[in-house]
Amino acid sequence: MSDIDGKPFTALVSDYFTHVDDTSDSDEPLNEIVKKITNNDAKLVELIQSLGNDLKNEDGASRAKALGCLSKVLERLPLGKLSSVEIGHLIKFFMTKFDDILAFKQILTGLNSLILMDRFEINEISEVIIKEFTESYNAKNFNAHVRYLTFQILDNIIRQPRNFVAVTSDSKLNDAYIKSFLNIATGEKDPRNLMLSFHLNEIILKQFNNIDSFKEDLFDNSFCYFPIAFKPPKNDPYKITTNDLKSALRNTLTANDSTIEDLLPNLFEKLTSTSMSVKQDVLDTLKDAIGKFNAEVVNVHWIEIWDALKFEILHNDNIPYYSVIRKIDDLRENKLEENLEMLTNDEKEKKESVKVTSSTLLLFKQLATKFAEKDEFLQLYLEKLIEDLLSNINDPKSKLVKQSYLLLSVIAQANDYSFNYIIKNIGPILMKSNKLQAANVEEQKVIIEEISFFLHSYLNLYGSFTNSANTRPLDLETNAMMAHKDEIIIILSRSLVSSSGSFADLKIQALRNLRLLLELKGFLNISEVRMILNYISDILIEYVSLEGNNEEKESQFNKIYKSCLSVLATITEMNNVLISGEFFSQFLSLLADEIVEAPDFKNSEKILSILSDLSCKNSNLLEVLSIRLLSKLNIVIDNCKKNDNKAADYNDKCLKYALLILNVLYNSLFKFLKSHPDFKTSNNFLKKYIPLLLTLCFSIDSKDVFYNDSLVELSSRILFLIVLRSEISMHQEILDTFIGLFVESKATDLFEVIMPENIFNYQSKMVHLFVKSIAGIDFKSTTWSTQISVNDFTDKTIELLNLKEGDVYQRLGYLQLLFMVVNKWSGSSEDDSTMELYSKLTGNIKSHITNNFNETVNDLEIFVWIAKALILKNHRLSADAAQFLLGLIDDAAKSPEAKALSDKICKSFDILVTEEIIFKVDYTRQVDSGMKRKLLKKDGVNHNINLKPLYKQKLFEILIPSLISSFQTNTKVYSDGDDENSTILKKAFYLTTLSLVSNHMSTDIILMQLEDLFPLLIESIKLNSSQVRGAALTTLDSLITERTVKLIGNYLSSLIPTLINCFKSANYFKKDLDENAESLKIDKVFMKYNSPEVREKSLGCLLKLCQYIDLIKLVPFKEVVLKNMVVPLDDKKRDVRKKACDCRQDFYELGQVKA
Amino acid sequence: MSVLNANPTVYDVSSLPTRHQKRNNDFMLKNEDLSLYKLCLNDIDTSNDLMIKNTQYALEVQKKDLSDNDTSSVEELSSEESYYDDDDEEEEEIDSLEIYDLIASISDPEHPLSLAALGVVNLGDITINYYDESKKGIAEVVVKITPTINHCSLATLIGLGIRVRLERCLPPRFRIVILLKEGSHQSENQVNKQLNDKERISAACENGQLLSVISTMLSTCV
Repeated sequence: MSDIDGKPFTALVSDYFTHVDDTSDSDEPLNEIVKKITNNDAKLVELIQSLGNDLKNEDGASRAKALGCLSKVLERLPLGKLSSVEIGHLIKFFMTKFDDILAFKQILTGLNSLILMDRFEINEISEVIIKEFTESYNAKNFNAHVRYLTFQILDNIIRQPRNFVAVTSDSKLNDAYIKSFLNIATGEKDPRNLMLSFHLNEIILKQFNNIDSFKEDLFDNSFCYFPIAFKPPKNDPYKITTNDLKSALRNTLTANDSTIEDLLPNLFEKLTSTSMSVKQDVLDTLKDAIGKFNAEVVNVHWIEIWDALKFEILHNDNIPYYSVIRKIDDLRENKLEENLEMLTNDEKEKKESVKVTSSTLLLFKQLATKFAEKDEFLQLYLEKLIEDLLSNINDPKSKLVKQSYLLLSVIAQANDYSFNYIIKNIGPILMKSNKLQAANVEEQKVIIEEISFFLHSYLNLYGSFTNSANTRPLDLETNAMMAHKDEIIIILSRSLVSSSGSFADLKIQALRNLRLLLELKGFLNISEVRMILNYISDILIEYVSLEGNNEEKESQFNKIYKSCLSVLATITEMNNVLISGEFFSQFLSLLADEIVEAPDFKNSEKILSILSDLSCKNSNLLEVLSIRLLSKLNIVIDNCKKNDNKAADYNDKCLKYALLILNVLYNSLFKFLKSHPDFKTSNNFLKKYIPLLLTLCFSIDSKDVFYNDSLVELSSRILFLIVLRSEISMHQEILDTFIGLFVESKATDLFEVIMPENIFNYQSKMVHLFVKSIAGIDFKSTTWSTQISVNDFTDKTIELLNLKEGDVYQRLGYLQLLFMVVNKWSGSSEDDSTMELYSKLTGNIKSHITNNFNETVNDLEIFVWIAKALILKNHRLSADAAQFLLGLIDDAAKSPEAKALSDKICKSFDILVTEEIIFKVDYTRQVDSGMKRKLLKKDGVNHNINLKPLYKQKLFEILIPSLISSFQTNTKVYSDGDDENSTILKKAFYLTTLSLVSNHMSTDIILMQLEDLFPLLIESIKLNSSQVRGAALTTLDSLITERTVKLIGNYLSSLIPTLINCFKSANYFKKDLDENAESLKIDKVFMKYNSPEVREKSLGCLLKLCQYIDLIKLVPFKEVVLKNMVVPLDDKKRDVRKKACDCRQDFYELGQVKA
Repeated sequence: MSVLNANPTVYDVSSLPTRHQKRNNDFMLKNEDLSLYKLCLNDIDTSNDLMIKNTQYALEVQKKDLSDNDTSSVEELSSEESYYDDDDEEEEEIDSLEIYDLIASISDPEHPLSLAALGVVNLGDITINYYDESKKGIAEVVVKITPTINHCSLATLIGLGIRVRLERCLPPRFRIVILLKEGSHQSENQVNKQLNDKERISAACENGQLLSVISTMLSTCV
């Protein structure tokens, strides 16, 4: 028998009774039982026999448990295990228990398992189930979980195709099934059950027979849930979203087109709701319905839809047309829905209403698309629409004109036929209204807007010249829009040209539509494009040639400037040559070749800014512009040299003009590269442009007016940018070329230019050209491979520097050269000599410091630049170098020139941490990450300067503790009355250094040491130097954040009075106050160092305090701040006054309750 | 004659006059960044660069202040220093456009629009009367407002809002007069009287409810 292996059934069953309950997971006895039955070691009957008594037990709980045992066993048996007879008997057995409410869950589970079995068959027994569901089952008696089982059973009965056929082919069974469904589904509320209920309802509506007699009940059963407002609970185990429910419901509602008669009126009734989301639900459902239902059925009912929905558009006076059109494009392209959670309620509502309007419009378009299957339907549809709307558009006084056009324009997007039909019918009317000469500006604006609707239809249907994917083939011959082309161009250009400058809005609108016109695929031919280009050129020329101080016209023009540019940019995309050839020539010819008598360069500035704004978006244009402007520059310089008949300031003017051109060249390149982070400068730039620029620079004699710091700096920066962005593989060749050119005076293969004298023989500002070029070179993939070794090179440079010749700029060039070579190409083999140089310099400084000021400064300068090179690459000497500089202050105090020397030492810290342009360009770039703009390191590598990412932090950690502790020790000495002068000097040094260094550190680094540092920062604001004060305030400003609120809150009592003193201009005392008041004299001196920047920044800090500091801490200062802020309200500088207004406003509002 | 601003045209804010956004001509001659001179130590003409000197001096003053209140040496010290002198600063006068910018962005108490967009305040209706040539002394600012309808009950509230804004943002030497534009309101005289009556204004400003409405109106100021 069954006790051959393991326990007998009875034992297992009693095990089950003792160990297993509904909540526990231990189902070992169950598994044993299942195993035995599966392996044919026992029979199911035996189990039932063992359970026998309990199955009949009076006690409901025991009964449920026994039934549960049986159900669970059935659930786990292999699906093919039981024969159909067995299944039948078991079903019968369960049915006899069907009224046992206490064990109902177990019974349903058991039935469900049986139904899923392979040999389950639809027979009378199933009919019994279905009957039981209709007659004795009452959903209200059971919880959601049990109810779920009933849905599952119904679902599973028809899961197998043969069973499904069996149910639907037997009309009695068919009806019984539907009735059961209706019975169990009525009043359901649980989201999981609803999902299944909707699903079953959909299947019934789609695939069952005899729907007509039930369709109303079925419809009611689903529509009663419309519109669903459901918010998923937290930790929802079933992960059902609102959208899941909504779309399931929509599928049910649109499952069978015979329900349309019920559906439409009910939906329209909901449309009266004021809630946008309800309206949206109605529209979504309609959209599905039109999509799924048969065209014939839709044809019968579309008038109802039209009549119900058209007023949503026509009677809406506040359609934000532009947003709606944009939204339609988004919806068409199925763009991801925006996340509305971040928005305010107001904005949310706006977005939702835009979506509702767009969806309504699209619904009409969808109807047209639907009818495309049947020409006569479409024809009728369009005829009726036009007939309906024609009365609106024929009456110019009607308030519905614009809405009507919008409606038609969206329907025109449906297909070729609709587009042509609509344009043919309304095109003439639309154009006719323009011919009314009397049209005033507002009317013109409306007309242009209306035209733009149809331009959008064209764009939507046929695509633009750049993107023709997913659009229809275009037949220009038959396109109805072509007939109106000329009129459209005339209307737009008339608004541009005829109206005087004062209608910027109209012009902007016209320009926007011209751009749209240009974009339309195949619409304009080249001569029309050229015509539009001419309109734009005319406007720009008018602007360029504005004379004198015509502020009003200028400001009008500035408003349309951007739009003009974007039209030009579109033309560039279409036809590059049109811009780089004709347009550029026209405007370059307007630029003077020689300074005649221009008092300023206003007009030239305008021309150049137009050219540059255009070129900084397109690499081809940039190349053309660069070469052509450079030749312009050549002409200007030549002309200046040739001119003998010189006025006094003639040379200066020439220089200014040259600088202007060069500045534009540099900035265009800079802007372009910034917005194209992956762009590599082409060979044209390297091999054509660089030689031209170098030749130009080398031709300048050192006595020339053009031998100018700015000119050389700009040229060298251009070189830097080009080299920086060239292919890395070229860098070795570029490096060799430049070394050959500047150091060895020889020509190379890359380009044929020869420098007259090399930079070591003859000191020259031109060293900057060399420095910046090699600054752009990747040090990792290049080697210093010339005859002159790195060591010789540094020695030679230092030798030159020791001569102390030349002006500041020239000197700076050689210092940077030193930095560059040591930082980038001085490897481990040169390390010994670097050490030697280092110790030689430190020794020199130490020995000279008290007796030879000039020598000390010279050595210090060289030392600082070498130290900078080492610190940047985290050389092992870097900590030592920083400490050495700090230590110098003690020695300096003993020097007779102590003050001046301390000044230099302070500055040297500034040099250490300042990152000028060559450090910044490629090192960081802006990455747009949604809402916030962040600075990210590009791949974490900076390939042009040997710069380790955390060098600043390291330096800061060395410097700050020393500075703070030195400051504190000196305070003690001072209180002892010991050598006061040098103590004060040292303290000043520490504070100055501190604020200069912090100014260059990122906030994150400073925050780590903030607690020690903050009091000193406040001290340094009090120092009498506008530079230091400004630096300290900038640092303070960046420090006021959420993270520092607590700390700063503790210092308010000293911080706020300090800030108050900083925002007053010294001017204030001249006016109002009694000069003799003794106590004010100190304040007066203090305020002499409040430069406008200081004043503005201190107000900015107060403003920030207002935003971050707790109300309760700030309110005590409210009165005093407000009272004192009267002073900056009368400041000389407008920016200061503006800040003061903002700040005062915020302080007034402190603690004020808003209505 | 009556000036009506009923059913007002809503002006496009971007087309109104303002000094706030100027087009950025950012790369002309102005941005020659040659501040890099300071990266060179030898450039320093010591008379120009007195960072340490000044700093040290400041500390000395503090010390002297603490020790003996001997202020005579302060004068002496300051005379030899070269400091930042704001006499060199170019004076940018307060003009009507600046005042317009102050009040243009106040929002209307019942529309979600600014006063400028509704045409309630117009640049042409702001005048500044100086009583001395230097334009440094006491002056009078007259702002004329045009209510949207000629029985607008909120004209006084709007006027009060403008007054509060100007009193907060203009230096006290300016006297503020707010009037209704001639013929724009049924009870022009009464409203004008109320708007410029000191007693009634200060009484209004003590009314918390009223002040909170004004707070809301001013919260959109830029």
